[in-house]
Amino acid sequence: MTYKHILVGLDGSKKADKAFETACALASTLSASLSAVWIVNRDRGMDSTFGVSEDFYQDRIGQVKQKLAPYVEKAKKQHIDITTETLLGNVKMLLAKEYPEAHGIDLIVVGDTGLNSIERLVVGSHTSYVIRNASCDVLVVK
Amino acid sequence: MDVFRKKDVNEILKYSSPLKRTLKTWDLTFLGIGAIIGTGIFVLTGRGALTAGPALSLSFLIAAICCGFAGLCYAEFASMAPVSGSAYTYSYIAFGEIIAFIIGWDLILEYALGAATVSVGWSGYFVNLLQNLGIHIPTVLTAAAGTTPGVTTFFNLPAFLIVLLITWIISIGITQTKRVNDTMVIVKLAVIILFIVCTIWFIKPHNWVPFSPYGLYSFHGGSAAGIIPAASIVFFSFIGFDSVSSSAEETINPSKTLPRGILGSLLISTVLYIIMTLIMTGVVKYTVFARFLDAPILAVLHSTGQTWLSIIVSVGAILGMTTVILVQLYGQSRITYSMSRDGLFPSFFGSVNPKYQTPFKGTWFFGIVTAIAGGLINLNILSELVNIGTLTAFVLVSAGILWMRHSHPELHRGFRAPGVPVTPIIAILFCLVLIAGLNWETWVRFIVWFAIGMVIYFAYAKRHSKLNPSNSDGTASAKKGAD
Repeated sequence: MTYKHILVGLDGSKKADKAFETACALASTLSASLSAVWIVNRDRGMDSTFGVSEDFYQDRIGQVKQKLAPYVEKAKKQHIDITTETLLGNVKMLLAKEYPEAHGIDLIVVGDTGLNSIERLVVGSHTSYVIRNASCDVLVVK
Repeated sequence: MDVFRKKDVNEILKYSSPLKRTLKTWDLTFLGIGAIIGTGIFVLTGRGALTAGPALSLSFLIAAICCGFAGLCYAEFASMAPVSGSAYTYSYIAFGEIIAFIIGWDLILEYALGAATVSVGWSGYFVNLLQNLGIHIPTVLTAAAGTTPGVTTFFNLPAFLIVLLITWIISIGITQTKRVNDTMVIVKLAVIILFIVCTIWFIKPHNWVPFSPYGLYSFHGGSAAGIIPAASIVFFSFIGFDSVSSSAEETINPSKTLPRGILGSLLISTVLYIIMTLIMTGVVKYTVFARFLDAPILAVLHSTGQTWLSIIVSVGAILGMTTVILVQLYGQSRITYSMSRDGLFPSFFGSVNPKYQTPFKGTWFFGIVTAIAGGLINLNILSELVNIGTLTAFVLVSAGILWMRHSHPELHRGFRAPGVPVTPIIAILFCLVLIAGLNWETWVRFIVWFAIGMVIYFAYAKRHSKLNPSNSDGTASAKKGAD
């Protein structure tokens, strides 16, 4: 089987950019459509009084939307059918389950995590969560 | 007058991303209980009992009623603009810059000192847990100077360290999932119910006499005592319940669900609080709590001799309070972020670390300040200041509802508070009564804090505000401040 809908997760890191390039190359060879998703992490458990976290999230989303433009251009140059989306929510859940299931994704491309070992212990790696929990294939770009 | 200059709603709408409506009554109730339980009951019941005696149970009821009315007003406030945003942002749209600055300045007090207060309680339970395991920390390093009468203490080392640890976690971008949060709520509830079931048999009804030794309001030994002052103290136990109110935009059918969520979570936690206070003051004479100010529940378990239970309760309290500190410090970094973005604070606080995607510098700045406050300042002083700050914010919000209904009746409201104008008026009255119940030293400290805020506003914020016409070409002047 070949992949029809490829999802790539972006976060501005170099590893994620590399993942994006790989995803573009794949999409172009397989004539698959590409969804580039940038998720602003939002924690239900961290909601505090007087809604003070909301402004921060809204600002992040605004900035991310602008940052997505060059990625679209790059993909358009290679004649790839690309859709981008900025989402607010739990990165792990959205990337591994919710978005792929809602959009019929059959391959998730992610960059290797940019955290050191202690940070990984505390924060947890998004990449390893996706590998463990995604219901479709996952490609980790090192 | 340019201190009342307002933000344009459309400016904020530009970045809005509509949120999915997914929350139901039970989600909200759970969210509320999770936010409420974990601070006051583990930390402030001792002080409350010393202030009101067994009648502390009534104090919880008064504080809960105040929160209920204020919560409904806040919910309307939070649903007024069709985008998600904070109380600070809404006041910027509705009332103008200076009110927004005051609310923001109030919230800084609430979060920084709230986290410090909880860290002191955390330390109380942590030290006890270590003692039960046979590890002893030098007494001078377990509390701030002058906390316990007759015991020499200098610095609260555990409180200091936990705040720094949590600051570090937040600064590198925590992902505490909803599942972790839900688990914590269940742990906290389980610990409280276990406590109730295991200690209710030790109640000696003669401890409840006199039930209300200081009446409604009186002066005793130079400080306010009685049911109302105690309500002002334990008001702290309900701080956080309004995180329910700010979820209006994500709630299914908010006009029905939101009041149910607010009242449901308040009702459940109030009932638990009242049962717990009756047990605590029934098992030991309320005067005993003087020696257990930081960890009042342990006074009860010492008296019943249930060391095994005190270990379980300590673990539950420590876990619960850790998440509270986490949420408070998180809120702290976010409110200063918003103010810095608008130019009211130096851009130092608004710079976002590109790797961690967090306001890294601001988080550390306030983390260190909070850690020092938790290490050095007496719990009594800390918690009262938090309460007066939050109560003032509620008064402003409730007054805002009255004002907005009058001046902007046409604005879209995702949720309308029932019974306006009665609801906000009752909320304001209750808040004022609770403010009146605090000691006058607290008022003085708060006025000093307020005055400092006004100095900062007129000396810095007013000129650097993004709404200042001379800054309109961009953020040049604000950026210069940081580098």
